[in-house]
Amino acid sequence: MIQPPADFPIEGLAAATRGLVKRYGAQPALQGLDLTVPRGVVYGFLGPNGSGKTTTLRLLVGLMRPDAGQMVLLGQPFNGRDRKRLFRVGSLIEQPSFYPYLSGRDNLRALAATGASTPKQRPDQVLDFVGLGARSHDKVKTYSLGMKQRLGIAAALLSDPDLLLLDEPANGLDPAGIVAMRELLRYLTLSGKTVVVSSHILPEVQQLADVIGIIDRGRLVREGPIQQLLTEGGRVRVRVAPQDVPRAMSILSAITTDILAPPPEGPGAGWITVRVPPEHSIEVNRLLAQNGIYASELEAGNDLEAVFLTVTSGAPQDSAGRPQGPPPGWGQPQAGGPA
Amino acid sequence: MIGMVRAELLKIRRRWASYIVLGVLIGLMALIFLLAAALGGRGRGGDDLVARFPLAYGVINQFVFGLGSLLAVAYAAAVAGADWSWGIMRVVVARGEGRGRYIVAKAVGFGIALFVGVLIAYLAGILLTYISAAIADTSAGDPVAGSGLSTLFRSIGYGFLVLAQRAAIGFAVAIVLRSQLAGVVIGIVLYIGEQILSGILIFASVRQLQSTGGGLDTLGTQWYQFLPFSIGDSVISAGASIPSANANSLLQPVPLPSALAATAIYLVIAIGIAALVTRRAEIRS
Repeated sequence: MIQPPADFPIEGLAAATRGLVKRYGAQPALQGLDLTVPRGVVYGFLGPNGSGKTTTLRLLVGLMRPDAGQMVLLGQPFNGRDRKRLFRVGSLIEQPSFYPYLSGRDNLRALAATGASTPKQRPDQVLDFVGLGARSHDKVKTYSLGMKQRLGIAAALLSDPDLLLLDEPANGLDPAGIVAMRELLRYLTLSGKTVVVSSHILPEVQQLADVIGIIDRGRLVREGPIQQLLTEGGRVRVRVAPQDVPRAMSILSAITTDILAPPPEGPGAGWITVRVPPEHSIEVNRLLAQNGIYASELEAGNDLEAVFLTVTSGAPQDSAGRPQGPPPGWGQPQAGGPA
Repeated sequence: MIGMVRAELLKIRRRWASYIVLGVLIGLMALIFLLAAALGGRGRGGDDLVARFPLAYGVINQFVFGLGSLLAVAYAAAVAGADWSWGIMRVVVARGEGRGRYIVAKAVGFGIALFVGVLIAYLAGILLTYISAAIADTSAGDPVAGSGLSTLFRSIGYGFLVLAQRAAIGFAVAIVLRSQLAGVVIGIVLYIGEQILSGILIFASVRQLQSTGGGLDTLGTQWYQFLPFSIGDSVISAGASIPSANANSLLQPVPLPSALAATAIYLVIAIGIAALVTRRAEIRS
């Protein structure tokens, strides 16, 4: 049985991994992943395509076995064989999967016979909970993608789990469905549950998540409370006359060297992006004005997308070439596992 | 476990293919029975075409456990493979269900449904015997006269065991291949392939006997009668059979105890392989 190291505090964690390694043949999918998911939060699990998000979720629910590393599930070491731990975990991994010829209700009834013991009325309760009560007797093959997605979430909720692992839960949902899902997940965390949401929709995650973990090429590159990460993703955008762009960039380099030049043409022409906290917008504006350049427009804000793009493409690395660790107070990534 | 078996029965009950498979079997059986009756019950040579009890049990066996075997192999593969093709296995395992337990429950559920299907098909066969006899204006005989009742129970009991064993092979093939379509196709190919192989081997045995001057009555029991799909023929023939001119009739059936044991072993091995493969599988889709 995999034991956590003595310095690995697992109490109070809904899920965690340390040095998790998984390869598909010669292809490394995870290269020493260290995730730390506290209880009672919405954890936004982000990463580019192929970064290892789904592989991580598959390992956490015992669909596959890791090649190396440790996992923790609901405060206890988890090696994938202790299947009863999964009775308290609900998941929607990849696309929702159901028997197309059965109704939504019958699918959930059949599913309720597996895993944790489930009260007889539970399938109807969760169908109502996700707004599918009226269509519960229709065959799944008649459902839209969004309805299948909601049914998938209902299936994940069947055993009233303490931890929910949702892979792209907003897939196929219309805007109203996305809002409803957000409210649903918020409600679940208010009742003490932990939700891990893997998603590509960064604005959605930004609204929803309390904690963010970003992985790239099978390694954790950033993890921490969203407010803390967003301070790293602050930006001020100013629009100046195109002929003033070179001079404006030169002036603004007094504040930071992290400045994105605008494209020479198109709708973005003249927009200079300065990566500074939003409260620095006054300083940016003043500096330009003092030098005779007047911004025609100015935007300031925090942007998860900026953080995401920074850490996943040309990710900041330490002197050893490893991805930079999470903010203080959060689990420090270990040196990358075997490549 | 009981809940999972019930769930499997629900899935099979709600699946149209279950009724189509049974309908095909009964439909083809009806076609032959009614054709025989329509011909007035007599062939060109004056042969009696309408089956009467107890011989009718042998005719019903030919359909229910002959054609039925092919359908059972294909349908068992479809049922088992669906869980992989539709991603259900991923959901079930992620819920913490035991992989082996789930496979065994699935097999048991399928077995129960198969038994019900056998009873319905057999009942249809008995009714068709009466109907065809009535059409041909002849007597169907008495199904319970003499050893009729014990023949009926033996036929259903032995036949079901064979059907379950053959279905288990289709079930295991689909799980090993993790595909509904591949399971059905390969299951059918294996079943028909073994029949062809068996025919070729019988032919080779006959040629060998002829070349050594031996009579056909000395062909005896051959090793290839123990092949997975062939062993059941010896079990079924212990229930009720009809005098046949096909190649298998040249062989001495495997003694019933050995045939039953071999059939049961194949059944257990097939389910065991399915459970083991599922336990060890890395589920990626």
